Amino acid sequence: MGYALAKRPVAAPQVAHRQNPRITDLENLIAELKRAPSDGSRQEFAALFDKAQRALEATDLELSLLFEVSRPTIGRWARGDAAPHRLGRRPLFDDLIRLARTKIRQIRR
Amino acid sequence: VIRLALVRPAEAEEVFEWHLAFAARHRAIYPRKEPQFRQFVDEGWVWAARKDTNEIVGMTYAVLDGPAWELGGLMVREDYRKSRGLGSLLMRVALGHMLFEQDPLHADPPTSVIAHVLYGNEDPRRIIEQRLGFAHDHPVSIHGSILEGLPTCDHGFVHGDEYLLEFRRALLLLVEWVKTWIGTLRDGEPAQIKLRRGVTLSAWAEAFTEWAEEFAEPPAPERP
Repeated sequence: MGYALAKRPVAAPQVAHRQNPRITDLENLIAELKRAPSDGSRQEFAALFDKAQRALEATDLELSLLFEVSRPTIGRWARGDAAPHRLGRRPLFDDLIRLARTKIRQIRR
Repeated sequence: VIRLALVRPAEAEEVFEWHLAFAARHRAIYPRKEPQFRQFVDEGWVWAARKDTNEIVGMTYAVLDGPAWELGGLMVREDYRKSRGLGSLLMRVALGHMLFEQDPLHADPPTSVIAHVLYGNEDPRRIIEQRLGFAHDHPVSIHGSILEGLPTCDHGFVHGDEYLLEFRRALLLLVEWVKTWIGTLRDGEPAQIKLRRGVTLSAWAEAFTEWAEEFAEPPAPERP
């Protein structure tokens, strides 16, 4: 019995490493933005843009400076009142990904 | 070098002063009130052209006015008005930017794009009809008290014309311009257009070609 116990393989010690949930959210957002089709409908674009803005906790002003567009344009995109042509969406998604990565680095510091 | 860029909120006061001074010299330009002008700038609707020295030499705007986008307010400094093409360049850029970034064509219902020209002001008509793809829609008369600063008739009305953008023709004209523009005014002075990062004039051309095809009339049914 004692022998059997001694021979039982020992599981690797579990390191208690729980990731900050905000980092998880941002990583999920990055994955979603990478997958996002540029040619979705205006409503799909608005939903993703709005979701990204919330996950990034970014104000309209912050995004307007990032994209070099006016602050109200950010609101119109997020509400679905307007949307850039699909060829103008990928650069937006790429900028949002960069912003998400920056925020992750800031949280980890 | 002439640089075309959206007016930033920090520049609003300077550009407004320029607009007022210009409107004082040209009766066909409606002098906007400062709060409204600032709103236009905050919304990202005003484009200005500046020289290397930062002097303003032209401006225009595409604004959402109620149910329609309105392209207007074209102002070009006198020494840039001698067939140098700055006026048409400014209006093409303001129109193209608005179409690409706001996509009024796919709003539900599509948002129309209009332009107003004062009676007797012939300068912008050729640009908006031949270069931009607007068509005359109907004459407009508005009481002078609503458009303070514009010339009125004996009965106190401001008279002009409203033009409506013909989407497909306008898109094709913009595509043709993008494909043939060599980055200068007509006299050879280089001109640069500052668009959002990642957006290019080539992307405009591709986008507008795609939309023009979408707006093409279906082929007429064959006759038996």
